[in-house]
Amino acid sequence: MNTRELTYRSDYGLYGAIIGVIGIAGMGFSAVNRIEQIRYRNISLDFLPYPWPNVILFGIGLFLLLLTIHNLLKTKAFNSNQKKIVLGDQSFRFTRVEGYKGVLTEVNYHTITAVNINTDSDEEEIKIHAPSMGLKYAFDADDFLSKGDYQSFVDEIKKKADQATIKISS
Amino acid sequence: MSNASFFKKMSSLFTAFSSKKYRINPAAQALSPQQQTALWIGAINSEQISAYINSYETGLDQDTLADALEEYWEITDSASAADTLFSLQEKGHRYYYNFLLPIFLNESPSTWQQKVIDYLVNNNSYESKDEAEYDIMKSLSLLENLQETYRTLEDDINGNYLAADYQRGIIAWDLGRMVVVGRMCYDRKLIDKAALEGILDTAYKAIHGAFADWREMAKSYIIGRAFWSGANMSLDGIIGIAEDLMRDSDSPWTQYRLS
Repeated sequence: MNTRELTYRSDYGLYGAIIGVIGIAGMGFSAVNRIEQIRYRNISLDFLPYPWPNVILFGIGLFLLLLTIHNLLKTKAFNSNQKKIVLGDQSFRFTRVEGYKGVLTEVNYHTITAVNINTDSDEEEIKIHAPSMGLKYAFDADDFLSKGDYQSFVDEIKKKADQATIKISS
Repeated sequence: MSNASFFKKMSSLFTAFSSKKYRINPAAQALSPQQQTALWIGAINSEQISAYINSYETGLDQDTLADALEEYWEITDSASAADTLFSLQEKGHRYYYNFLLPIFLNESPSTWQQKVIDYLVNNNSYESKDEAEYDIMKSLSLLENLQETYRTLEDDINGNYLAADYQRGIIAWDLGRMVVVGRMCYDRKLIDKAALEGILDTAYKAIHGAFADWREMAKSYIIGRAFWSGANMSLDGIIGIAEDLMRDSDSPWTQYRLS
């Protein structure tokens, strides 16, 4: 069987790390400082006396930290199984994220019933629907190593998903 | 509504209001069922230029015919008419399609250029380097059109085109144009009636066995058009004309079977 591999990975991202740091900083600040009042220019929330400002800031910090951890775990799951899509003659394999687990998934081209290719440069992606496998999945162009790899994947689906309705949207 | 759908509807509206559809020539000579069918192989192209739907004559004035033949086909006299019609009959765009489709389906894009060069050099005797380079560049451009439009074409009647539709080829695109260009040349007296009837006979015999019905033939024409020019607004207009031909009660395609 002929196979071809394409790099398919998710980056942890600088923005995610910054949000996490902001979250930790907010939690730390609220833990060691007494905040008497929430105030911004002429607006002050007098009905929220101490300790509510501390509680609110701590809560926001905790939320940002949990959001960062959530994204880190999702990304780790996405990148498990060697960060690749393996294209075969009859099927392709990739890692799908379920909860916080990366699940190796094999999709037979003939089971694909619908494909939607979004060509909008900001949201370039290919959505694949294979109901018999319970699969409805969007492959983001940004998760491929290069534009060429993404185009190869799209071409492969167009060539081999012979039972699918294929639509282009933008 | 997507842009494509919008332009398709606008194109249909434009056709509906700007010109009469399915123009009937009241002075048309009686045609055999085969001759009528052959005329309608060119129906999409014929509707595009608002030609008569039921006669050898197109009903277009001589200036329009002369301009169109020269501008789009480089036909200015009988010799160039014969050359172009022969080329459409024997080669057309299907010559490229038939060797580029397997390359597109089976080869990696990084090898396309070499595969195209290998094929063209092995199957042609070019008289100059420029001629060969032109053919190579043209083939690579057509491959890009194929990559862009493969399996994504659709119309309201047939739905999404399947791999089998692409495998069937684009002979309808070549012969549909051959029929209409032949009629235009006949109107311009660049070919005689016997030559036009020979063209119609060739088109009828080639199409008759190749497609089950007009709908299947329409897909071949549209795939050919997309292969030639890619996905653009004028393609949407062509698809709109084909949809009307497949749907309208006064269209010859709904009144008469292909076979």
